[in-house]
Amino acid sequence: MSVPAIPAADVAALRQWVDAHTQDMLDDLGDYVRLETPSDDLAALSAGRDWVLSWVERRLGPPAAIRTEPGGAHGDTVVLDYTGTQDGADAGTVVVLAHYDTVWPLGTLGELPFAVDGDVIRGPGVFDMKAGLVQAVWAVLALRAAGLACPPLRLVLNGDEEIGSPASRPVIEDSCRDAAAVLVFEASADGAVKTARKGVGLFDVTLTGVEAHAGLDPTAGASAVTALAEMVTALTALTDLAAGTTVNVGVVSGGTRRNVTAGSAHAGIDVRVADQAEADRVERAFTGWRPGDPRVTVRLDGGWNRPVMARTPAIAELFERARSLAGQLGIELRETAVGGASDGNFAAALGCPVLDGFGAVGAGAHARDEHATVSGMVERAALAAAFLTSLTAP
Amino acid sequence: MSLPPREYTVVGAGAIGGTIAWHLARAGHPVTIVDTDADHARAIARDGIVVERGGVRERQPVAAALTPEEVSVPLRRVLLAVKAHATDTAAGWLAAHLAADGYVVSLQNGLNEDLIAGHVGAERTVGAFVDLFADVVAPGVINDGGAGAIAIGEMSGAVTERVRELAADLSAWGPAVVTANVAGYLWAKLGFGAMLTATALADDAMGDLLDRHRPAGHALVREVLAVATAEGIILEPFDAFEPTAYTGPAASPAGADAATDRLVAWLRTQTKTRSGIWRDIAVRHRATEVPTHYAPVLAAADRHHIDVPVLRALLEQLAEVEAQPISMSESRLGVLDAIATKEAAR
Ligand SMILES: [Zn+2]
Repeated sequence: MSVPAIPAADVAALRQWVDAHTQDMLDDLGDYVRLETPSDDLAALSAGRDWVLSWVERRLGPPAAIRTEPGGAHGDTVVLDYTGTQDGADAGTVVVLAHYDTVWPLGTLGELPFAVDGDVIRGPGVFDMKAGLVQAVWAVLALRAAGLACPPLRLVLNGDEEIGSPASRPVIEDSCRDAAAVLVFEASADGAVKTARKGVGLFDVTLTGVEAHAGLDPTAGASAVTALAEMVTALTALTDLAAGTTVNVGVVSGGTRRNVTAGSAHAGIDVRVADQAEADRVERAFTGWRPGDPRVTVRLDGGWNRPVMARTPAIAELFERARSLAGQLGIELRETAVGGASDGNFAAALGCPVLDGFGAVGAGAHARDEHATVSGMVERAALAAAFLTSLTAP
Repeated sequence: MSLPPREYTVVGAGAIGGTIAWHLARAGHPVTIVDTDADHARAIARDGIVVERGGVRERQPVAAALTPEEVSVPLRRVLLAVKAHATDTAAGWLAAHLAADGYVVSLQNGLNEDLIAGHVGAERTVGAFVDLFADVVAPGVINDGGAGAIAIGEMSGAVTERVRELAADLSAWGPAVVTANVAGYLWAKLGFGAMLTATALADDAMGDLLDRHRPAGHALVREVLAVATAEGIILEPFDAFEPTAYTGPAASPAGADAATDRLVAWLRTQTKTRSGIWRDIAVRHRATEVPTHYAPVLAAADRHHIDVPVLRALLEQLAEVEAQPISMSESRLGVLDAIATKEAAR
């Protein structure tokens, strides 16, 4: 396919403008990182949400519409709609996904303070994914400063991504349904954007047998623990490393007493699959599995926490567009399929064109050496700006 | 400049070749680049080599950048930095273009010296061990991740004027020393490299994976180093890797664990958390050099009748992951652990 190039002068102008505002970006990022937002701390999350909202409004002005979906036991999800510039208003809505929660518990900032040392930026959540949101906002500012067209934007900010997005998932799906493109400003993988991701299934199996005294009446009972043992072997055997499928029975429990045939047993299972065919195969095997003793009943709970994100032609086209614009910026943009799932999986499962990992350059997500780079922030903010404006081209 | 300028030819302007050429040229040596990619050679001839350090890009012109067909004069000092699988072709070409008193030094990973000597003769082959953190980040742009070490030596072990000169000139890049035991470094790096290669089977930090999968890591090192020992190699330590902790009379399980602790701690200080092999597979979508690097190891293992089951399993798994990067999984290291544990129990 051919990608419409945008004038070299515009690309250069965007890059220069972002470059000249590097310190402003870092200041914003510093303020954002200094407000800790662990996924499991509601008070911290709501303070973080308030800061993000006031900061976005300060930078981009009041949105055309704003909607807050309470997260209940989890962080709230906020959806902000910005109309495009006049010359970009006809373009479809571009959704920006950015979670504001981090994996880091309150107080991490004490040991891992926000710091910029040369090109390296450190601090809890700096790479995953606070720098990403800052880049997205500054990309829009760069477009405005350069007088370039910007499509209508919808910012979806959630506070429960790191725990699987239980509350925000329907809001994300609802917000993405009519999107022309969904940009996930999650951290890149060694600079590469993500055009495919594995799906993740979280299943719980409860087995119910018949309790009996094992010594006095050994045949009267039907052991849920024996059934569990059969099940662990059968389900683990579904693992097919070459196909990208792993089935891990990570947690088991069962029974009450040593001398009692177990009346119940439970297993917690994590499944990773690389494509839908494998997801179907595993699911069929899970629902079809029966214990050797028919008196033991099976209940299967849970399901696909994050559906498979396949590299559809629409996703490939978005990547090709980004790669071509990156080339104009002197960046060799690459794509990858490795790495865990994200909210991009939800949008992709709806058939939306998704570009994931469009955020920070750096490394160490969820690890103590987490860092982003200053040069990466500048380069990717300029790229995001060029990308957004390219979507307004007829 | 304190040293007299000397003409160098760098064959293969990738990450290693480009970095070394950049530093030599910057130190005032006339450097000629030879690269089979005509566009790449043109770009270097026009723009020089760009090296990025700490986010800052610096341009360095070179004396010339040519394709092999454009080379007309005999070459004296050749630094060979092509990918390992291109060594045979490059060395064959060099046989026709190397001056009678010239030499070729392999700035590559793996055991390439015998192959090169087969083409140009042992007396025109100089050995080298290169431990260098560089990466091509954009066309013509190399990220210089900092200096590790270079050790240079004659295959015979003799210390000659030409290796002294070369080491002195390469000091423009970083720590470059003369050694009588290049093979000792190269084999040690293959042992260490086998552990790092295993971490490319999953998408997580090298240090963390090595820490969690010690049975596999230790077995891989021991297998490779056992072959080295059978070959009569005296192993040399480098960076944070201590081969004698894993093999030989001073080795013990506790000592190996302590050495791995230090290695893991060192890996965790690196800004790059993934290996170059991981990048080749996950990001660059190209075949790795690993099978080429370990082909001589497997051949030597066969010669000495040494079993290397974990290494063989690693290479099989790597081929699967290369074919389908999304199938990276930490379970793969679990499989290697299981093979290693079963072997240890025998
Ligand atoms: Zn994230």
